[in-house]
Amino acid sequence: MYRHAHPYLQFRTRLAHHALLHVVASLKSSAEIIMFGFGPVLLGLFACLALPGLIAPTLAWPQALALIAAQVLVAALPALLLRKRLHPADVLQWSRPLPIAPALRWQADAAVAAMLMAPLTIVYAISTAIWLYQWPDWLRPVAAASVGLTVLSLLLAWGASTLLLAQRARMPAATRPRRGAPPATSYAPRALRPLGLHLWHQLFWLPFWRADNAVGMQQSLLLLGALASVATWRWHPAPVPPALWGALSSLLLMVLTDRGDQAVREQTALLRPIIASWPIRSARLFFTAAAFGLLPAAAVLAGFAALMLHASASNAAGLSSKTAMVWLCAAALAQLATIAPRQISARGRVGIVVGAILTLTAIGSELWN
Amino acid sequence: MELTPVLHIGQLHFEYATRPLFRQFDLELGVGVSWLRGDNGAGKTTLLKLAAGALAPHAGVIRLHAAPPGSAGNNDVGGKDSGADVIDSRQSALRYRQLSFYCGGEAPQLPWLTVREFLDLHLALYPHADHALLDAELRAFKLLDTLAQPLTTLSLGQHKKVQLALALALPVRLLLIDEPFNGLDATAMDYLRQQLADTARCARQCIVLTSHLDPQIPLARTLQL
Repeated sequence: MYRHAHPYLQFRTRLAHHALLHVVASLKSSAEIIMFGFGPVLLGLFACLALPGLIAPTLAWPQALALIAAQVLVAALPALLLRKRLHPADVLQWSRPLPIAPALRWQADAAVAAMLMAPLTIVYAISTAIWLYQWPDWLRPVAAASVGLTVLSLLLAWGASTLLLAQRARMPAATRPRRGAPPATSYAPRALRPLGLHLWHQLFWLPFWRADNAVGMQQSLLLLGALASVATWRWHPAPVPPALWGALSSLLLMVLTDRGDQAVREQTALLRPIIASWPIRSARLFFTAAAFGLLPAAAVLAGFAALMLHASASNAAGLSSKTAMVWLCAAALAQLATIAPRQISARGRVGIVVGAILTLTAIGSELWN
Repeated sequence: MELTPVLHIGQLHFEYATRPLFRQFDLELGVGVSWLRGDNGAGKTTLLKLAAGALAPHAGVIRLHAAPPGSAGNNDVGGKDSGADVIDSRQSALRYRQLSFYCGGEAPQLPWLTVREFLDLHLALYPHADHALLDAELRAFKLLDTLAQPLTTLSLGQHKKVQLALALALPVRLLLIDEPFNGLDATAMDYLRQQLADTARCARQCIVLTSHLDPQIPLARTLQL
């Protein structure tokens, strides 16, 4: 059947397959880290995935609607995050002038969205089966409606994913360019001093924020997540045990450094042949870039230290200042251990990061008694 | 006419995984424009990149004579790298690169930068560059309007012009230009020929260019690979 599909459909599904393999390969080390450290927790979360749809019929209308909407949004998140990979800019530029019928484009987007939804649907099916097998009291009277709503939420998520992909591929409207500054009438260079800092900014900062590169946004979200997690750990609101916030902080901190360092390594590999003929000491530049990759983690550790000082000064009950100091030192060492080995294999790197997460989680569990 | 060597390549060996490209390759080039010819895949771009320091040879030496023609150190090139004016591409890599520039490639190498950022970056790397000269080159190539544009929005010809404007303005001894006429309009081609034929420039720079078209400028040497 696949062979008889329209060549454009075949092309789009192959492109999506290739893009997804690429994403899986790029996330492999991080996914291994998360699975090693938090496999059981994730399994538990997967088991609960279908819960919002199942429980919705037992709630009042507004709550049920909000719950289903949230579930649809979460299920459509992969399409939102991966839309630029599934519709790469150069492929869009190539395909827009081609005589492809709109219906065929929609079919292709729906097929690609279905590829994204397939694994999620399997997890939903397993999760629903687990709940039906457990057969809790609240589910019995609404079982049929619950299953129907779960299926509906999946179908809506599929539709939303298709819409997101179609929106990405849409020809941008011809807008009149903004009247910016008048065109330059002469060129006068800006002084780039200090040169090393400017080189880093132009070669290792700007590329992560421009065009389709999402590394800057990804690292910012991870940084915010880590800071928020550390802040929540400080106040550890009930009923979540403080150790769980410690584990989350450790995980986010290590993933932040790991992903950042991975991006710096990839950019270094890209730049190496380009700047080989430039009159600069490239080794020094690459070392600076790797060292600057530690700054987000340093900000998180500084935030942790400040919060713990505040907690200590306000005599927060149950705080172990000694544990806080040990966690801080261990976390700092773990950051260095992550970026220092430049020739290490991917497997060895996963080992270091997983070991660091487990160690930090174990130490952190003693922070609040 | 006696050749005054600026670029000296001796016993060069370089190979790709699929085939050897240069074996025991020797070359000496003086000031002026040298035209490097050859079929596709003959190694023209590779030779330019080796001479620019962008690729490392597997064996052999690549040296640059820094002194202007007529100065005392000029006869040193073939000898040891002991004189202050003879710069070995491996032993004094940084100084060698300050005196050479490779201008090539059809696609932007730093696609996230604007034209202005690209130029600022390169001028910062060559501190003795003449800013007024670069301004004049940009004006001549009609590029001033594009300064705020991302490099990726330039046409092939505009991208070539940006590289050429920069190359012509840098105070380098060795200028390596890969296919300089690709994508240029007729006016830009005329201007480029005029610049490359400039006697003052030809007296101080060793310019090596590859082209499948006859450059139609006075040539110091033509090399067939």
